[in-house]
Amino acid sequence: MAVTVATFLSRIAKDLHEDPASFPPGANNLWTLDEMVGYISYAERDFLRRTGVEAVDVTQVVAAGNVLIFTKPANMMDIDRISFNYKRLRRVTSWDLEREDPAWRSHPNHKPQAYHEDHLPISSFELDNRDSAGGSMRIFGGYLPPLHTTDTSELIAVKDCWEQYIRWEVLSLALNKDGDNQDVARASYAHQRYLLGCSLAKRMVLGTPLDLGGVLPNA
Amino acid sequence: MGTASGIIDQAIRRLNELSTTAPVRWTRAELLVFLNDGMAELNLIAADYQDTHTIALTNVASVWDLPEAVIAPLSARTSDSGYLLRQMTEDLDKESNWEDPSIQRLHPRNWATLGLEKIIVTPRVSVATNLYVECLTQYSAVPDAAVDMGAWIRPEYEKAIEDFIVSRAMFKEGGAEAVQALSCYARFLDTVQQLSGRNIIRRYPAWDIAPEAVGSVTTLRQGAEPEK
Repeated sequence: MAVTVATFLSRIAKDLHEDPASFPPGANNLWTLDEMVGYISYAERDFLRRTGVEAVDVTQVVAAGNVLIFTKPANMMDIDRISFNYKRLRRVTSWDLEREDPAWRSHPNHKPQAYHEDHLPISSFELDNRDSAGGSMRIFGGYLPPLHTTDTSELIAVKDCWEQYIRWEVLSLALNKDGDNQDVARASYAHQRYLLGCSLAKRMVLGTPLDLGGVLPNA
Repeated sequence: MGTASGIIDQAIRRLNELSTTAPVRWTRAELLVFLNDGMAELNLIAADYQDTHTIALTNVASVWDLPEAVIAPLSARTSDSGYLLRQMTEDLDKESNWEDPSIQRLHPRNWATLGLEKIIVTPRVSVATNLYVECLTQYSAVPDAAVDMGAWIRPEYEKAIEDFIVSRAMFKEGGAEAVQALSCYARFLDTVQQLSGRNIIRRYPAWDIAPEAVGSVTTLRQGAEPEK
């Protein structure tokens, strides 16, 4: 990741015929820096959510106790997998746990075997048990980049090979902005190019079919 | 042609600019960005630039980071046990307690991706060994100079990059010009798909684990199966 927001904006500005590339606020400028930074954060998070190219591997020490609800790491999107003391936990629903044992929360000090995320506050998950001796919990999940500020020395949150697709989506959002300069046709095209990038990334994460059917648009 | 600056020159001519050194509607720096964008997309579609990275496996971990230059791991092997079988993390979980540090073997057998920047290698090795990960790798940035493009791509695919630059540049103009650029991009896609076809054999034994994937019957793929 070597592309700064400033470099990124200088590339975008040319496509949007904006000068200067710093997107200052003012009556003559169609887009502001705050706005463009918002588009970048939007596109980065959307790309990472769609593709899963960047994963987070977090280990948390769990002390002995009775509380079963934990908070998801702040830099993580969806949880892909949780293990406790090296054992994978099954992902279930609270309904599954209730059906198995309606009083499961009243005797929490056993080895955990499952976790659920439903019927809980956002970004929380709950284990079915919490080992009386404590242990360590390992969580895999997608990476959630922090929102960008107007500090343009920050880096774009994806590797350089994916940066052009973030650019396509930012262009799409900018060109879709309501107003006289709205260009729905180009915005739509830019979004399609962005989706191509998502397909290419997803294909590598999952492994790929031998041909490119379904990945590339019909040329 | 054959050089990076030569490709940009020709793209500028196709864009109907009078001067290749000081074009009016685009800067050379802008077109250079498009050239590198085209190189990256060619690589992502056709898996053209592959390289091998070495990870020194020990018994301290089963998840390993890949270098920044790596786009995606394609396959993994050791010098004495051959190719490892690519799995999904879910498959590893079904088969073994792979996270347990006490479970160690002489040779690793499986690998899985964790995102595209880490790989899981199981079981842990009891003796330090090198893992060779064959990866799709990012091109280094091409400069606007008289450098031979042969250092990056095969000469017969340079015209695809030229098509990409022209189409990308015309997008900036909007309206009918942007629509006219679609045919150039179609030519780019057509060419890189041909390159991809030529490169399929180079992807073995790599990408065929997705549920919708067609099962491979090549001997190389069979060679990647664990020993019975």
